[in-house]
Amino acid sequence: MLELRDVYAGYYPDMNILQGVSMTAEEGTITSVIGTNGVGKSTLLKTVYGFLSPRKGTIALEGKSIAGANPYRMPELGLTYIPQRRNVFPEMTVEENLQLGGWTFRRDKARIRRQLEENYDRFPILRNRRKQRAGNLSGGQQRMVELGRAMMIEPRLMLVDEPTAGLAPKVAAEIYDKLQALRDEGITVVLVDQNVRQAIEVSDYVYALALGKNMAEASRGGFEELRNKLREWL
Amino acid sequence: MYGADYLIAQAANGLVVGCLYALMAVGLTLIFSVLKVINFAHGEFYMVGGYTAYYMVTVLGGLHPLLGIFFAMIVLLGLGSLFEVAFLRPIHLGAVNRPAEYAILITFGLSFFLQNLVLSLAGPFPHRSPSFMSGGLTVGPVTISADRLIAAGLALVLMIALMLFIRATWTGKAMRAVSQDRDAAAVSGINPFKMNNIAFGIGASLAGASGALIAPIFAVVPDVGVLPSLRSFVIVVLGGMGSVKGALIGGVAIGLVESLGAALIPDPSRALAYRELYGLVIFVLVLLFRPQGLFGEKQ
Amino acid sequence: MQRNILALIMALFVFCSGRAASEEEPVRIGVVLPMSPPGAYASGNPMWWAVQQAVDEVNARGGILGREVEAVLGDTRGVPEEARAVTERLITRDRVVGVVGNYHSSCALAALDLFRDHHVPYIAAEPWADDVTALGYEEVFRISVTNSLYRDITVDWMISSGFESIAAVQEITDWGLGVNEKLTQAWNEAGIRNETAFTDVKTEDFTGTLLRFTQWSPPPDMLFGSITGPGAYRIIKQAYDIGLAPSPQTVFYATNECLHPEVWEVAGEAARYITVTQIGLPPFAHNMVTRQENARFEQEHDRTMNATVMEAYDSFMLMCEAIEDAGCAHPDSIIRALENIEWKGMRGTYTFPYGTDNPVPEDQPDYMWHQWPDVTLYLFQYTEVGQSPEEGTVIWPPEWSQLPEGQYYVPVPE
Repeated sequence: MLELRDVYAGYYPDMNILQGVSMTAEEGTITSVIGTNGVGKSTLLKTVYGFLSPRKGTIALEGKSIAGANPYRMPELGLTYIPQRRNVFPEMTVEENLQLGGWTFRRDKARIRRQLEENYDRFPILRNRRKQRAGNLSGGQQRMVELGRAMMIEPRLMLVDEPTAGLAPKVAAEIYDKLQALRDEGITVVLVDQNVRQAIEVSDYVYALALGKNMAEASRGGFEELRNKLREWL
Repeated sequence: MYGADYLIAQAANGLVVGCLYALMAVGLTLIFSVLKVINFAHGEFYMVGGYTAYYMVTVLGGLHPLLGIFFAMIVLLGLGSLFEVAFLRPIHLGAVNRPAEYAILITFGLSFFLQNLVLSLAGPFPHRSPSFMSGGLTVGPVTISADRLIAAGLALVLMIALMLFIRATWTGKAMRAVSQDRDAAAVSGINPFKMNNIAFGIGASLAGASGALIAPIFAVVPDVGVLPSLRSFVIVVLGGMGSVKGALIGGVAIGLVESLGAALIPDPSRALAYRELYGLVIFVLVLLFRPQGLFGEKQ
Repeated sequence: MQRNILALIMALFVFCSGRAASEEEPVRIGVVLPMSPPGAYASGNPMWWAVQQAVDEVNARGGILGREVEAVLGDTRGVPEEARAVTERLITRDRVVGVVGNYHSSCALAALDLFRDHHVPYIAAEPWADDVTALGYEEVFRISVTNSLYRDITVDWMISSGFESIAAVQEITDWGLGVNEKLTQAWNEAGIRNETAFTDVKTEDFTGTLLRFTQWSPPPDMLFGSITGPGAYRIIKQAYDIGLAPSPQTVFYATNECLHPEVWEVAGEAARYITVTQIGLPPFAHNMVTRQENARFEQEHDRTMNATVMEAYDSFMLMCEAIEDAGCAHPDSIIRALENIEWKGMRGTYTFPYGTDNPVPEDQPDYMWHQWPDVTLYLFQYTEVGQSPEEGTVIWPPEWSQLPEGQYYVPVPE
């Protein structure tokens, strides 16, 4: 589904955060990218989504290059992204937030309505709060709004950055459940997480990064070995 | 010391003038909210709007003065959009090293350029558009000229239309989304550059409308926008940077405060002299005690 | 007189001999005016047009000292600091032999010591502040009125008219504050009740203050709208719209901004019956120069020259005449020539009797130094919509008045 080859990228000239990262996310799986703070996990997602242009290397979605495309083009390609920081539109209602997720097909009123309903079924608590300001919701509920907004386009590929940072363990577990449910709906998920244990638990494939480079990777069968390797390394 | 009639007359005048103040400030706040740029050329958009209406009505078309306003809005919409594409887009493309300073210099430069351009094209003498309607309306103690009433009324209509637009339409919501979280809006597929362009165009167009509305009342000269633009900054801070509702209420409030200040300050020689100061005092008080303004969001 | 001529010849001999000015170089004269915002550019621009008219004429008849004359423009923007910088640039970089112009007193005063320090002759065209000449600088001359002269003449009219109460709206500028200080003092001495509202010169809406004056009972006899720039017209319209002035009860006295035809475009009908001052001669006292130059100006710019514009023309011409008289462009020679000049311009025959050899006598005010003593002003009223200042009715001073004896203004019909 998504394939990165030898990607270099960074924010400042002559300073690459990513220094030749390669990875592949297979369709219908959760692929995790783990590593310590500052190894470039978030940068990786930003580069895929077009907030940064790769300086070298290729990024392909189903074999077609998407390197350097503008972020606002991504939904049309079936791609969506949930950044780590809170990113609901705080002054708008829950429903307005969700609607805007359907911006690319805004003229199709029936589809907007259908997708809203699906989201309310997925996150029943949002149905009750749909007229509330999104900024007034709890952290976990805001995450749900973000997830729901991302789901509006019925994405094929979802990039998720630290979805449970700062959330209580119970709420975090709920979010991981939702991610697995999305995978079961057939959505490909690329998950970036510092919560190594949890991430590995829900993933089908795991990449570990160190200093902007691939360090290790493993599929479900090799997780035990990967855990040992990581423990050693840390 | 003064009768109720006198105070009502003063308040009515403040209310009418306040609506005109508000319309200009609403455009400024809209631009700020979406682009995060303070438009120092706002007063000159107002000025160009006044001149456009004047020339449309008197020299070129012989149009009805009300149509002159419409043309002023179209011209400013175009001018604003062009300027945004050419000079402000680099900020949002990350092509500028010091974006804050650049934004100040480039809009200030435009202001200077437009003043001098119009001075050389239209000449140094003031021009006044023909009246929308002659005569005035007298209700009890209050007499207000028809021009002022029409201008204030149209300003209100335009502001309400804008509020409906940003509240209820897809484009309006997308503009709000960009103003609240640029990147998140882009993630949803909203083109933030396009929203910048629309917001700047509409903001400029509203400034143009205010200029066209005052052209029959105060007449236009190349530097007619200087004072109104300063006042707009005060109103925008008072109402909350980026809040359209705040700018509307702030504008009317400043109109009333100026008017009642001039009416009630006991020393008549100082009453009008401090008119601009009333606004500035409010400005400072707001910055001290409620920096987010009346309707602003806390950062 | 004889002594003066002798001094002049001496001066010519001393300064001009041995100074072979290069024949090809034009004679450069600096012109400082407010040409762009925030200054009074509506006055500065036509003043500059008048200077260009003068340049054309001088060069058409062969220039001065056999050389071409060139006017070098400095835009003060009405800002004192800029006036100082631009004047310094004209003197040091453009090497002008003399400077004329200025509209704002504050601008003239800010640059005044430059003329003294660099020893460059300057003729003030329109600044009114007494100090411009009262400081007694050797290099500085003035052909406009002074605040004090203006007060003397206009307050006489107000007293004769029998005004008992005056309401004034006064712009906060050096000029406005200076005039106001002198006027209120004179009004108080004459026992006229008066109240001044100070305001920013760029104010758009004066209605609040004007409404205040409507609370007077009885209404004021005169409203003084002492505002320059477009505010001068707005205040007339706004005072008229609320029924304050001009009205059968209240005379509206406006600034000479209202000499521009735009007063009709902006204030319209409201400007009928306003009273305006013209710092010059009434039309029936115009000379040939006035008529010729005015006709030429009107042909080119589609408007007549008002007194301020004439001052620009005259000050430039006067400088040219002085250089020609001096026989060379040495400052001492030009100053001498100006002190001895007797030249007929658009606004009368210019002389500067009080100077180096004839100090200001004890019984004359200080500002008479290098001041044209015959400067005059008159008051007129527009009596029909769309009139030019020349078509208005002259109401003061009595020797020029077109009103029946004992009447000092045209009342607004009930």
